[in-house]
Amino acid sequence: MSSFILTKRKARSMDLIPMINIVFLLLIFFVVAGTLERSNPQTINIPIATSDSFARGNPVIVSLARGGKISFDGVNVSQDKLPELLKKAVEQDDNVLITIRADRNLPAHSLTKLISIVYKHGSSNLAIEIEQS
Amino acid sequence: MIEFQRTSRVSKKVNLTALVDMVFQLVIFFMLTTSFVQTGTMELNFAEGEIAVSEGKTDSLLVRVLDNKRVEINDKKFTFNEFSQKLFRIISEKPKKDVIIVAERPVTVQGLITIMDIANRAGAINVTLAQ
Repeated sequence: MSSFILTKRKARSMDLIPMINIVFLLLIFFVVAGTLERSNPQTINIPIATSDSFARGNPVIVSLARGGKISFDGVNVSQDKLPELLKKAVEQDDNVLITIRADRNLPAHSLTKLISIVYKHGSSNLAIEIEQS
Repeated sequence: MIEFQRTSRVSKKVNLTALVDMVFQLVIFFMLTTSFVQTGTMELNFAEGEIAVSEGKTDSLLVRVLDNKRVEINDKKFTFNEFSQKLFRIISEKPKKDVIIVAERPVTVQGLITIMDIANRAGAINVTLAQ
């Protein structure tokens, strides 16, 4: 009968501390370096520009996505409903800043049309969101 | 002599699994929701209706954006680069120059913003978008 050598089983526990350190560093990096993205029903590639003028006011975002889809503060709305929402926003807050997020590939006349609606029914305090290059 | 009872030493290890799980979930959340794109805002001035701009009489310069490459000032066509140089020259001669921008049909939002950006960088006091 062959004999087997019995070895003592050692409990192998991994040293997790370096991994926890790295994971914590990653967490701190993402918290400090990034900004949380606003939820938006449509993906919009905003236009690129180098200059940045500081616009004052409490921002209300009006988005103009591909296909002319409009959203007001993250909610899809039809063009007919927009004037009413703009009036409400201005009534609620005198210091409102209507910020337009428009897709860079859209024709410019659709942007000017939207600006004209905002100007008529909302506020003249207007800004357009840009990606800084 | 007093005898002390010897107890076997038990190594007390803190269970880190729950902590690691939670931190991983936080890392994944921040990785998915964080954006590193730097955004800013550009002020918009808007003018509706027909604008009568005559050179020399007013301090305004009417820029007609023809497409995503060319602009027209006083019936002369320029590329975006040429326009940038010309505008710098005009504004350095007359610092309080207002720029009124009108975009034609083929122009995209990016083309329009590029022209507004050039005007801002050149030092125009008021950059107005007209319909």
